Amino acid sequence: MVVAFADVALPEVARFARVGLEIWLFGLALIVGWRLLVEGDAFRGLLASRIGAGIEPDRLQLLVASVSGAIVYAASAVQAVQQGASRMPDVPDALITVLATSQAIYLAGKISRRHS
Amino acid sequence: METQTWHGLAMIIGVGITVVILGLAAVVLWKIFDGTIKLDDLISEDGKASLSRFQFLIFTFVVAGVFLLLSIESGTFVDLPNNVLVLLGLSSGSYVISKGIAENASRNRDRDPEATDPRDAPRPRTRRTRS
Repeated sequence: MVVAFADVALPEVARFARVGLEIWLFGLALIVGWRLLVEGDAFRGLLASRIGAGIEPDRLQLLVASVSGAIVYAASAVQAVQQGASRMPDVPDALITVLATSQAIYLAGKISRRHS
Repeated sequence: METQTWHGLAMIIGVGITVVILGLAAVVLWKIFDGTIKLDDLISEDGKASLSRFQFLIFTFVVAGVFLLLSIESGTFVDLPNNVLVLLGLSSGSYVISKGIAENASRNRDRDPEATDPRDAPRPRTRRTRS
C-alpha cells in the first residue's frame, strides 16, 4: 500500500514543483517589470547620453531593436512550449544580423560623442 | 519491505525539498514586491538609466526564462542552439564595451579635474610665430 501511494504521490510532487516554479517565474517577470515602472526614475535618461539632453537616434534604434527582438524570440518560445518542444527555439540569422548591426550603430554613436 | 522504505524516503525528501525551494522563492518574490529588495541599480548607473544594461537584462531574462520553462516542462535540461549563445554574446559584449567606453571617459575626466566632460576639456595652446 505504501509503494502504491508513493508511486502516485511522487509524480504529483513533481507536477506541483513544476507548476509552482512556472508561476514563480511569471510572477518574477511581472513584479520586476512593475517595480521598474513604479520606481519612477528607473528609466530616466535611457534615450540620452546625459540627463536633460534630447533623444539620441542611435539609442532609440537600439531600444526598438532590442525590445522587438526579445518579443519575437519570446513569442517563438511560447509556441515551442505549446507544441511540447524539447529544445529551445533557434534565433533566426536575420535577427542576429539586425541586433549586431544595431549594437554596432549604438557603440559607434557612443564613441563618436566621447571624441567630438 | 526495503523498496517500500526507499520509496517513502524519496517521497518525504521530494516534498521537503519542494516546499523549501518554493518557500524561499516566494519570500524573495515578496521582498521584491514590497521594496525590501531594491531594484534601483538594476538598469541605472550613477543615477541615470543605462541602455546597454537594459538590453542585457532583457535578453538574459528572456533566454534564461525560456530555458527554465522548457527544462521544467520536458523534465530534463534542453539543448541550447548556437544562435542563442551568439545572441547572449552580442548582448553581453555590447554591455562590456559600453562600460569600457564609459570608464575611459571617466579616467579622462580624472586626469583633467577642471573638465566636467571630455567635450569641455581645454584646447591645447597653439604656438604663434612672429612674422
